[in-house]
Amino acid sequence: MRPPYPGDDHRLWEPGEALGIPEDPDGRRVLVVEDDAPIREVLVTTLRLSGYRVASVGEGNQAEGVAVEFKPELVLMDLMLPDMDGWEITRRIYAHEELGNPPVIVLSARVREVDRQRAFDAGAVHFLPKPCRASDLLEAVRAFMPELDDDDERSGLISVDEGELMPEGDISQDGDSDSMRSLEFEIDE
Amino acid sequence: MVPIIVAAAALIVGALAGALLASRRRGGSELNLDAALATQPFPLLVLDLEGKLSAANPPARELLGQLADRPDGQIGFDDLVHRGLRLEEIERARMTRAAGQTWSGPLDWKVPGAPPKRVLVTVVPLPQGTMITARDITRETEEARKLRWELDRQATAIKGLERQLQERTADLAGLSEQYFQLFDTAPAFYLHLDDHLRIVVINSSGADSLGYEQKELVDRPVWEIFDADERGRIKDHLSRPEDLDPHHTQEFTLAARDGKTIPTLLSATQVPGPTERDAPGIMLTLVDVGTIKEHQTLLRRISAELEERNAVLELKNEEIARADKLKSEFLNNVSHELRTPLHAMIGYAELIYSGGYGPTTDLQRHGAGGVLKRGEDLLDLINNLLDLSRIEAGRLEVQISAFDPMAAATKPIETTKMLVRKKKGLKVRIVNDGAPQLVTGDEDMYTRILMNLLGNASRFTETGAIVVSLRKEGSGKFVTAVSDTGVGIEEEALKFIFEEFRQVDGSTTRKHGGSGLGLAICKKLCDLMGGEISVTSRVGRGTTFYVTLPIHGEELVAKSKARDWTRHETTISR
Repeated sequence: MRPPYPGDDHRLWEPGEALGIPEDPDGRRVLVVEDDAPIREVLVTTLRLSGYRVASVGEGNQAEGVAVEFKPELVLMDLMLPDMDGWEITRRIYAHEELGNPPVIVLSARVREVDRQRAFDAGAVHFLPKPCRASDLLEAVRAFMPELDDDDERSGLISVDEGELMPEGDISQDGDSDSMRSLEFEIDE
Repeated sequence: MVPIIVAAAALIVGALAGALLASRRRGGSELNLDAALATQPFPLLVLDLEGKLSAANPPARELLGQLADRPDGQIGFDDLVHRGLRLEEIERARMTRAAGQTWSGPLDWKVPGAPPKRVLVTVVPLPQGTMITARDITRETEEARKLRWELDRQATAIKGLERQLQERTADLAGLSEQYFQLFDTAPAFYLHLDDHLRIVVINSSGADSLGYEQKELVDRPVWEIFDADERGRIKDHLSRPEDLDPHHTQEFTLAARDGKTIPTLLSATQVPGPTERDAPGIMLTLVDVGTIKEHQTLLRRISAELEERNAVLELKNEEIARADKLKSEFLNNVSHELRTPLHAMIGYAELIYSGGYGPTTDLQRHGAGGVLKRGEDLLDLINNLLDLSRIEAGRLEVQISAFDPMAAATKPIETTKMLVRKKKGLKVRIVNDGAPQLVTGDEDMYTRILMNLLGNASRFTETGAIVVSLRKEGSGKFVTAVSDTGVGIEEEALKFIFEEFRQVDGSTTRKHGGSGLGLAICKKLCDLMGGEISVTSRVGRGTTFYVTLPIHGEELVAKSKARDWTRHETTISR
């Protein structure tokens, strides 16, 4: 039996955003700044499956506003955004007193040493090249997520409009989130 | 002159003596005779027919010395003469007297108690006796001798001068020959003009250049050799010869016989005529500046061309620099644009593979794994391409540090073990064959070389062993050998093996995977580190790559500075 192959249907494909993946309300808050929607989807999905609360923004000049609302504990930052670049957004996040200096991990296809250096100069704590493996990403997020203080007033957080963060469309929600915590794959030849 | 005086005196004396004797014969007064004798300033003696002294004046008596004490009648001619005359002279005097002839001659007259005197004696026979005059010519003789000596000396000097003159004349003739040759053959026009501006002489190279024989031009007005348009000007220029300044040159154009014009630089100066009576003339010197002008024009054209070419080159350099920058920007962008979708691709494949999008069947996982695997291959290719272009653009900098090569080899070995774990008959090991504890170099580059070589070995080897062995070689070098028991490489393919996109053939690439860039990158990295890479292989038996690297960093630092890698930014990326 041959499976039916798609014609040109895939051309109508559009990225979603963590489609139907449930969010752990107690998860640590990660802000994803990424203009490429498919990457954004993959990042948000991967992080949610690993138990993080994720907010995402695709436009650089809105990143600061979303951050102020969401109060991220860690930021994943793309560098090449069309309106405001990642270095500038990173600087602004660090300059913003209300945000409390969340660590910024830069995730970029700008892999030249100068670009990395600029990211570190802007205050980034880590640089991940694109493409990177989910395992590397999760490991970095775990490593740089600040320790939880006992008197961490999580209750004081401003709630984020669920509509903005919740995925659209429908997809099976039976994701095996546990397996995502240790994303690995083996060469299968 | 002296003899003339003496002769004149003798004549006078002779006449006088004649008169005296005549007066005596006529029985005149003795006193008168003596008085007449006494007035004579020179010695004068009169002998009678018997040869005895009959009269002598005081100078004569002074000359006679002691003899004068005797009475006159006892003094004879012999007495007189024998004192100073040589024998033959006495004889001649006697014979003269006998013959009644006048004799005259110089004698050395010895004067007792005084230096001998030179006297001119004249013996005049008289009918009644003999008259002798003796003129003291000692001083005259001395002067004559001096004069003769002076004359001789001067004659010698004149002879010397004559000889010098001859030599000088010969020298001058040689010099004039040389100058004449110079004058004739110098590559310039030399002309002498007379006061009517007619050519007196023109040098032969000048005449040649104009197309004439030298003699054809002689006596021709000088303006005839000038271009028709210049004739008035040259006449004007030469009209006041005394004002001509040889250092002031002017351009004039000559016209040769065939009508060809010759641009020249003319200088003129007034020169004296051939003799003092001749009017001064003019000497003209003209230098042909035609060739110089041609060269100048040529030079100007060439330098203009050069400038043009330089401008073009500068433009091209700018273009190249711009193109270089564009290329590097392009590569950067391409890299970014390739990596971005690849990230999403790998991400989605991982989500499916790991069940992030729900439970999957083995086949579904297999499909997703295929996407992942080839996605990673694509990433490798992109990385390799970028590395290669960076190395070629000189943008990859060697970063020196000290490291333990055995430790550095561990990670590639582990990765390889993981890659080949499905090939049950293939072992991977590392052998310490006397490896140095610490080497100096770029550890990261070293690891990448090993990763590439081991990647190749694992692709082309099914069973047997992949062995990495490290050893020290000589002083200052260490060798890392990566050997396998794989398919081996054809001998002729070995030649090209370190070139880009070269595997043995296309089919091997398809069968074994890999981009064909790995070995090219290995070679370039070895070059960068100042080392080398070589290979030996036997088909069906296996292949061994040898990487030889310097241990000490100093030489490498020197080398890398020489190649000026340091000005480039560090752009190593994974």
